[in-house]
Amino acid sequence: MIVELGHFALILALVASIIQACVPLWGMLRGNASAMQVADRAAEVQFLGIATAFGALTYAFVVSDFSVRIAALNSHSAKPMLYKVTGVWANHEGSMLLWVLMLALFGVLISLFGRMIPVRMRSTVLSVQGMIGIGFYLFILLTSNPFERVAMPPLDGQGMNPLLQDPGVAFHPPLLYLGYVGFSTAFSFAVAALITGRIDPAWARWMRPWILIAWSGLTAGIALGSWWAYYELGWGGFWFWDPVENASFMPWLIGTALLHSAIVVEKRNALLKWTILLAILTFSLSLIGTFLVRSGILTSVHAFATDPERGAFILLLLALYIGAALVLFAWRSPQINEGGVFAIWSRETGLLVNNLLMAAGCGVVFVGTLYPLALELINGAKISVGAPYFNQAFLPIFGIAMLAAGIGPFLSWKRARRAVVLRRAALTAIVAAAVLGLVLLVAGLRDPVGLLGVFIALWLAVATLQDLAVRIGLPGVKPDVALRRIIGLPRSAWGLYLGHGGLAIAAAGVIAVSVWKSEVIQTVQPGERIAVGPYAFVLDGIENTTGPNYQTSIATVEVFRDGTLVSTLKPERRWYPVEQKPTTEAGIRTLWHGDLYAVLGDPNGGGGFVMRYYYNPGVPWMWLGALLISLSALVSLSDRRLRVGAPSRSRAALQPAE
Amino acid sequence: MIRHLSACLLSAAILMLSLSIPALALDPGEMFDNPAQEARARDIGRQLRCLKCRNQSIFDSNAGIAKDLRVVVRERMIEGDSDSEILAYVSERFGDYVLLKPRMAAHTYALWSAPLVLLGLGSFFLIMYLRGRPLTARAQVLSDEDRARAQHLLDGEGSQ
Amino acid sequence: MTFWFIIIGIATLLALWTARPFLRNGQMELDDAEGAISVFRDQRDEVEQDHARGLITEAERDAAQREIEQRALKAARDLGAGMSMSRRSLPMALALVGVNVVASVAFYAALGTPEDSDQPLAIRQTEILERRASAGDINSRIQLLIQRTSELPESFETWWTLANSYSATGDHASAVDAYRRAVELGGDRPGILSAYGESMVLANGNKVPAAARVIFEQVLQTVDDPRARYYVALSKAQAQDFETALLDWTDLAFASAPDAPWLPLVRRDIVNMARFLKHDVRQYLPDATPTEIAAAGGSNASDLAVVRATELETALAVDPMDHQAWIELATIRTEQGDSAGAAQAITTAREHYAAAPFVQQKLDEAMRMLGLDLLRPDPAGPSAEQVAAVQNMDADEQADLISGMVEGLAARLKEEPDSPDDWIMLIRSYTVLGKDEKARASYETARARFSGNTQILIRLDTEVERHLGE
Repeated sequence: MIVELGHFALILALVASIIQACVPLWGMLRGNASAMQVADRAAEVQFLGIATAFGALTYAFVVSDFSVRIAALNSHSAKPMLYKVTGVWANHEGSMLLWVLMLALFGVLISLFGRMIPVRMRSTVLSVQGMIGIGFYLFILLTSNPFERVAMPPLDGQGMNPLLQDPGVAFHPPLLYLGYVGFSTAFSFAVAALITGRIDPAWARWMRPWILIAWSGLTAGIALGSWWAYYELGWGGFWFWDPVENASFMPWLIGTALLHSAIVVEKRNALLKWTILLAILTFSLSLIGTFLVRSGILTSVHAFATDPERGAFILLLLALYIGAALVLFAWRSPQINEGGVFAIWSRETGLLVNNLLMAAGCGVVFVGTLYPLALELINGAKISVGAPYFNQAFLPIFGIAMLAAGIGPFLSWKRARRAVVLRRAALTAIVAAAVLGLVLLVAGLRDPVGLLGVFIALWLAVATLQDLAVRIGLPGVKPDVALRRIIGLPRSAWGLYLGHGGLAIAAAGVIAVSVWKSEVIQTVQPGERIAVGPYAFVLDGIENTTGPNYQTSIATVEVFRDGTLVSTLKPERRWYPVEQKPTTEAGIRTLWHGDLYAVLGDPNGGGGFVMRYYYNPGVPWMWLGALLISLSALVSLSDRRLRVGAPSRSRAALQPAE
Repeated sequence: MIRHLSACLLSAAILMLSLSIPALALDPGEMFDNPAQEARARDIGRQLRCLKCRNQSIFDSNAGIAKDLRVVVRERMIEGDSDSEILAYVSERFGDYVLLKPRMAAHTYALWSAPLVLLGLGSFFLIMYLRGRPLTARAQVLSDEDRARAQHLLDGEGSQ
Repeated sequence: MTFWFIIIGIATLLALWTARPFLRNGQMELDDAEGAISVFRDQRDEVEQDHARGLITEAERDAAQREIEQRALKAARDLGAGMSMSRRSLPMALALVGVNVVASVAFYAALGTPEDSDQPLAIRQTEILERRASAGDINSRIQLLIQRTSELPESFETWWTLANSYSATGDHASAVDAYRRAVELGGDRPGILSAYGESMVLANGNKVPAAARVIFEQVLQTVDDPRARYYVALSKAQAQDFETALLDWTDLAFASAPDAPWLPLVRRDIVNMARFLKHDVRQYLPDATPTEIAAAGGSNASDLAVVRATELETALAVDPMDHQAWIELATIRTEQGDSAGAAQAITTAREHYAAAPFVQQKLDEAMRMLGLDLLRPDPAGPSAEQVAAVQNMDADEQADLISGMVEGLAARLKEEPDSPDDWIMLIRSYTVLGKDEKARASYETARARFSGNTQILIRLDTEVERHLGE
């Protein structure tokens, strides 16, 4: 009965979203406050419904109820409990349910924490959220119902791809969806602004926290996925320009632009139309990403054409939402007046340049991802667009963006003094070049493009530190004053420094591992000593044992540097009998400057094993940088100014009834 | 008919081989002893797509066909072909689909020009926008009366 | 019905909550202008703070203040002022609740399956055991029988079947207990008693305990039970009375029908005993085969190996797709000191199974076991070049390679029959090779194997429909 209650709860959520979409909008147009307030209640009911449905589905997976079709297809009674739970979203139907759960979560959060947003705006935003919800609830119920039952439940489930039985990838989808779906709030705020016709700095301030949460989640989600690929797929790669990765990277790029342009709206009442357009585009790219991943079109255009039901449905939703929003934009945006003015040399222009570069980068990724599909549809020609294209086309744009990110904070709002900015940039360049020389002395030159990359990363790091120093008055003030000022810096400023600093660190890591990585692939006899960069790897032996639902061989690899033991690595090779699939688990030891990484391969039949040994310098910086970037948004969010519902002097007078 | 059948069989053979040997990509047996040569083979390998994998290069893939292609690349290298000759050799046999970096041709001009076109268009609009807007504020000076009213609003008694 | 009441109840409650704003008067909300101005107020305070901390200059502060004031004025001018307040409206509330409940319940009626109850694995144990048992899984049958004995502890049939199942799995200790219970319930019928006795022997490591001998002799007093005769003889042999034991067995062998299931066992014991006593086995078994004579010490053991090797060679020349035969051949040759010949056998087998990794693995193991890998330290596996070379082979070679691969798959499925994908691949391969008989046989085996798993059965059926045209 619990499963069927879950099914009913899902339908209740659909009905709630229909009410949430229609009644408040009618109330807004008629000036009926009761109807507008229905939005909050409906958002709560919708969330309750979808959360119950999700809970019921989780229950079915946990107790191995194989009368539920997707549990039978994706779970197994012998799976560890963690993966029974994460199995809920490791399949198409469950992941769509997670998608709408996130959507409803954002709806109810806006209703709970958005009490300071005037009711007309809040209810219109919630109404748009409701409209998005309707489409996806219908999609789930009509084409991908997770509560479909089977008449004859099988004896056991078919298990889950063992590659996905890993804590890293288990929590990757929820974080990714937090971002993907979180951008629906930006979309709703933008459409609500177009419907109600009001857009001003207050609007940007109400919208910004939601963008920050979404962007932070998306950053963390992408990084987690990349981290998983790094340690699970077993050859040390972390980013493959796979269409699925690109699908999450595109909203991130445009979302980054949106994050920055929303600051201009809030501070300066400028770039209003552009920001609205960016908000619409960001969520559109999330929708396109959902379409790409969920329709199966990436695996094969033909598979999509022969079984088009799901894909066509999402495509229809896509066209409907994006089309309607863009038409509304074309119709209403001429009525929007741009407010604040600024000079060419100003923070505003700097942020516009950021927007331009992010949008161009996103455009390149978009073109590269969809070009093969489009070409095949047009004339049937099959081509591939892979990592070499993206590296050549995208990285230069991103490099320029990082250079610009260094200078951006030097510019002051409205009108910056060009001479000051250029002088500070010159100083940055000199310091960065000096450090670059030092790096070359220590690590040696491998290739000139890498050299440029190192310089860009150094440039951004130096510029960020320099701006922080200037901001607190160094070197002109006494240390205690500087310290007091550091403590007094607004959190949003910390957001900037953490974000840009994190980017510099991550970029340095990426470049370091691409240029200075050492790799040995060799058949190794136990006891044999292999030199990898400055380290020596010794294979001690192999032990066979079993895990909860797999058999495994664990190798012991000792790593020495200059004769002293640095670490012992335990790479594994697992075999999952239910799914009949092997996985590799790399043995990784993280040092401050890089990772020692070992992978156990096949036996050669003569007592030896094919081993892959790596020294990956810079990899830990990548994760640290990504973590800092993700945290930077949360630090900004914690700024008092953005705390939605921050206390206001006349608030008590305004809310007598509560 | 016979051709068709043997094609079927061949694909069955390749499929089974790749399903049943969970080997890691790149096996030491196929590698060159000379590190420079090996590095070159890998660079080429990174530019070729494994035909039956999703977006993996033959260097990264452990499928049987990826290994075949790696061996082909190494053979061509021993024959003394240049990088571009090898890529041409492979794409002649397997089509442009194997090239992870699409070659420049009529049907890829749009793709390769995308970064420049996007940057150019963006910069054009940016410059037009910056030039088209007034550099100074329209003289919208607030009268003292307005200022007082605004202060009043902001002090929190305005709307009552 | 209860279920429908529950969901209608839930729907009504939540619908009422949704309609709450229409049930209350005077719930106030922030209006547009005041909402915006409160933000600008915060902004003005922040500008002040930034100035106080020395982050912006006085001129910047004044300019910013001016802008904020302008925005506030604009908001007050353009946006609606005054409170928005909820107003009670019973018709609206009722309409909302009505639509809500009717729509959700109707939609569920269309999509849901309220009659399907939850089926967590925990409550399906009996069903699962029954399905496994009917698919031939003896352990599941035992589980079921244990359940049944606790329900019907006085049922002879259940204990008897349980005991037989135990002995089928080789769990003789448990079988002894179950047989004892069956004897208690079923009286001293000879068949039951001798089965009980046999289980005692087997549980005792094939030594006949005194109690068992008593039982067997008791049986022999009523009927001429071959099992009892065999074990009594065994017991005599174990009491050092070899000659009598041998004679008893010989009598038993003469008295048995030529196809009696116990006959091979009895003959084996006669042969062994004859060898032990250094008697000529033909005295006891006039129809003794050359193998038996050899085993009884009547001829040279290595001659026998030669005979077997020749047999194997002949068989393999006809049908080379028997990897176990190849391995046996290699083993025999190694024992005869013909390492080169053994390696040759393995290499030939490898060629036939070039595309069957599972068999390759078996061959490798055999090679290591026999120490042949020392001869050739780098055994060449089926390299990718070889597979690529399929293209250049003529049709016969190709067919040979493919059938080797398919037989390899079949061999693997015999040992690891749990992968539906492999079964489908096997059926498909047989169909492609035109071996419809074998395809159908594999299909039947697979169906039996996965009976009860609808998903897989459907896939198998689809496969057969597509390829065998049924």
